[in-house]
Amino acid sequence: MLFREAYALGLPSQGTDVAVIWDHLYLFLLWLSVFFFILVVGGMLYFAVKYKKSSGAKPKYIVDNHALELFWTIVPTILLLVIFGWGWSVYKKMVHAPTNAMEIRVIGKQWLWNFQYDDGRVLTNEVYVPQNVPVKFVMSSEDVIHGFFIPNFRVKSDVVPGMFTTIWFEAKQAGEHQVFCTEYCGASHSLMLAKVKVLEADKWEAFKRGKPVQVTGAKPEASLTQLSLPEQGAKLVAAKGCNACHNATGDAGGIGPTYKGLFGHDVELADGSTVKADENYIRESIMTPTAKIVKGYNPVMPPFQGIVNETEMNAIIAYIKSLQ
Amino acid sequence: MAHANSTSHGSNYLNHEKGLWSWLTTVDHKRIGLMYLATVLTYFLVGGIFALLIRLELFTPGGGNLITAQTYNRFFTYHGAIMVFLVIIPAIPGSIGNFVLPMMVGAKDVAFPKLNLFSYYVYLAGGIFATLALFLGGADTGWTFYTPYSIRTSGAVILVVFGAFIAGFASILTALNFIITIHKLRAQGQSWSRLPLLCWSLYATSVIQILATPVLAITLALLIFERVFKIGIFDPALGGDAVLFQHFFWFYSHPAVYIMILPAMGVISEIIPVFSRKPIFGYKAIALASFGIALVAFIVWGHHMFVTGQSELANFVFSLLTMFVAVPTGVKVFSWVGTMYKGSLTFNAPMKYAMGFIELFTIGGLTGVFLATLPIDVHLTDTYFVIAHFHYVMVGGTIMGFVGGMHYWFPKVTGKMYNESSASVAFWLILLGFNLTFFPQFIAGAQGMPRRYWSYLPEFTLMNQLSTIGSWFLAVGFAWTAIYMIRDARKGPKAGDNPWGAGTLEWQSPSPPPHDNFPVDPVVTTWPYDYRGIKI
Repeated sequence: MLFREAYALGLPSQGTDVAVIWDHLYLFLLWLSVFFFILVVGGMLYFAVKYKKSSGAKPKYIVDNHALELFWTIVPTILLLVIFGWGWSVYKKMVHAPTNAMEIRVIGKQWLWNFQYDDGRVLTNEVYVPQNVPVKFVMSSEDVIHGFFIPNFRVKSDVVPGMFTTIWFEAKQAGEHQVFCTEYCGASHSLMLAKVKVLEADKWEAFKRGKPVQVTGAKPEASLTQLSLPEQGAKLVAAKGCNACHNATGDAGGIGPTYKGLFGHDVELADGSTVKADENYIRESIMTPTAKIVKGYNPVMPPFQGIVNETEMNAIIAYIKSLQ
Repeated sequence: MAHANSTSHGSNYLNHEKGLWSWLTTVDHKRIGLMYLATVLTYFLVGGIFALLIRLELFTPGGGNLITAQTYNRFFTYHGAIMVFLVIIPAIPGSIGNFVLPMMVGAKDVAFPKLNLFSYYVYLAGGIFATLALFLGGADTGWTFYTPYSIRTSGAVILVVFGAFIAGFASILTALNFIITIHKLRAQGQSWSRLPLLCWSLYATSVIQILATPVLAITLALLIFERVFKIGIFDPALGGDAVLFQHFFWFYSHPAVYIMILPAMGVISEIIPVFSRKPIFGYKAIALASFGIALVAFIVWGHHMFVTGQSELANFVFSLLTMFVAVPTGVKVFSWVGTMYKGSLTFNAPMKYAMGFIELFTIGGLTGVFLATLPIDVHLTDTYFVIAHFHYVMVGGTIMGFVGGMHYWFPKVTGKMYNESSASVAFWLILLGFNLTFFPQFIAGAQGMPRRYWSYLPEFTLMNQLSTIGSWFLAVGFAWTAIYMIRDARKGPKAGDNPWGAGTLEWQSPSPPPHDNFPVDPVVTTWPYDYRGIKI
């Protein structure tokens, strides 16, 4: 561990066994590169000092040296083949999921991640998985190419419309692990984030039964029932990915309209008509967003029918109402 | 070897004809080279301004301090597309290649001078077309135009790709001209084994340009068919394959990477022996390595696609083949350093840039091995590690070679000498600024920071701020270079015909050269890298 802390400049923490063997190969390449860098650039600087023009010295007439040239062709070739072979052995472990791996389906869309469990539950931008159990993500996209990347697990795959791609991991560290979208997918690409939440066995059992769980290392969260309705709504719009396009600051330059000052006011639509922003307008705009398009914005929002339930809807509306 | 002519005070290519019209209609390769240079540098300024704006937005983690996400996405698209298609690809062949190559082979001009002028205008038209499409159409796809995003977004993707294709067609014409000039117009006595290495590398570059650019045209045609006739090719919504586009795109754009770097390698191969007063080490190996790289260039495109769901077998093959790029590249780097061994070294600006090239290109090349290694690439691809890697190769390599070449041939082109201490200040600003800008990006990338992010997590703040500060040093270094180069081209001291004591033919002509390049047709009696008979 000490070795790693001291030398693995900037690598993320090792959330899986694959991350450990990945780091070995990475550090080998890093130190091999340092060696060659010193050899080439150090050699160059040494020559620069030693053979600096001086009055007495005459440059030596050397055209080539076949033995030396053969040496610096063959030795790197062998080294590169070793690196390739080592890489291939790590790669196979990285991409071949054990046959007993638990499957979770991942759907990417502009600009959020949905996680679909066997029991029918769908979570947005957070996925709970058990510790020390191989988990396989079967991933697809509803629109353009996205990329699913968990730095702590050293796994990544593009998420491509029209086909399935997979990644797998067996998480060793309980707690939260960051997910990034890594394939450029439009305006809110950099806000298309999620968290993998790794649960110890007992918490995993609780999660499966639908009980609220406290993720190790995460800030203790007030349970929804302890919060006021607008506070619940604020948590929900963050969790459902709404904030990738909408904001509470009143800035009209976002992908979608701002929440601030919306409720109770007239909204100008793309077809020139106006509509008053009441409860029904907000419900419709969430469930079937393309029904009414606000002037100046593109019809890009996905429908949340079946993702947001009545209790959540009320909380979100209360939140928007509170932002006057 | 022909005797160096004393500096002529009479007619040269700059005063041979006068007026703007004489420049716009010139078929003189030297003037066309300067027109390319002016155009490339204009685009470099525009692309550079977008780079500075991108870095300024990234000074703080949360997005939106300077520009909105949509504006940011357009800016990195403008930066990438302009720098790749309008700056780095044509920079060295168009300017230095056009000016120097015919003189290096002892010719009066390229084989087809009118075609050469035509290719300049094709490049200019492609550039203007692509730039207008970028700005008016507002493309936000990144320079890679990946489908299906590029099909669905409102931008003018087809027009931008069309502009890139027109500019590519100009490279085909220039490439043809170079190949035929090298084959047909070499001076008496200039056998293939006496051909300067810049000519060898431009030859290899030309071969790639002619073979790869048509693929870009095919891709464009397919995109248009898809848009106009709704034939499903790349868009899954029409029954197409989203990843197919990437295969086509990289089948052109990967060889294009070597189109960008090979000419710079040629420039470095000219500079290092001259300032070492010693023959280039391993002439044959360096010339052959150019063709080795050109060959491998065509069969490694899949290494851009290791995480796209491409089959394991394809990943195996592409990773293995990519490893072999490192072999000829290493041979070149070792040979350049070997050339300095037991030389008599001086460190004028061209040599400084050549050594800067070796430092930066070595880092760029070694990190290329990281990315060629399959599992390592899985973590690093689409992160800032890749951004850092290709800037080390493309800017650290190509732009350092380009700026080094501009200093090296400055006395030949202008007849004047630049100010050495001015150049030294600029060099250190650029070298330190470059490393400060891009080295932290390797670390941010290894930490996991994805590319094309308008807003990033707070843990990446330090690396991004270092990078932004570095970009200001780079900007000042390049701005200062522009200032003293313009100043010294007008008012610098007279340079003499062969101030560096070089052995290639262009230095046997007066500075600046006459309209027809040589007062007397040169005859080659020796190898260009033997400096024993040349006095400085």
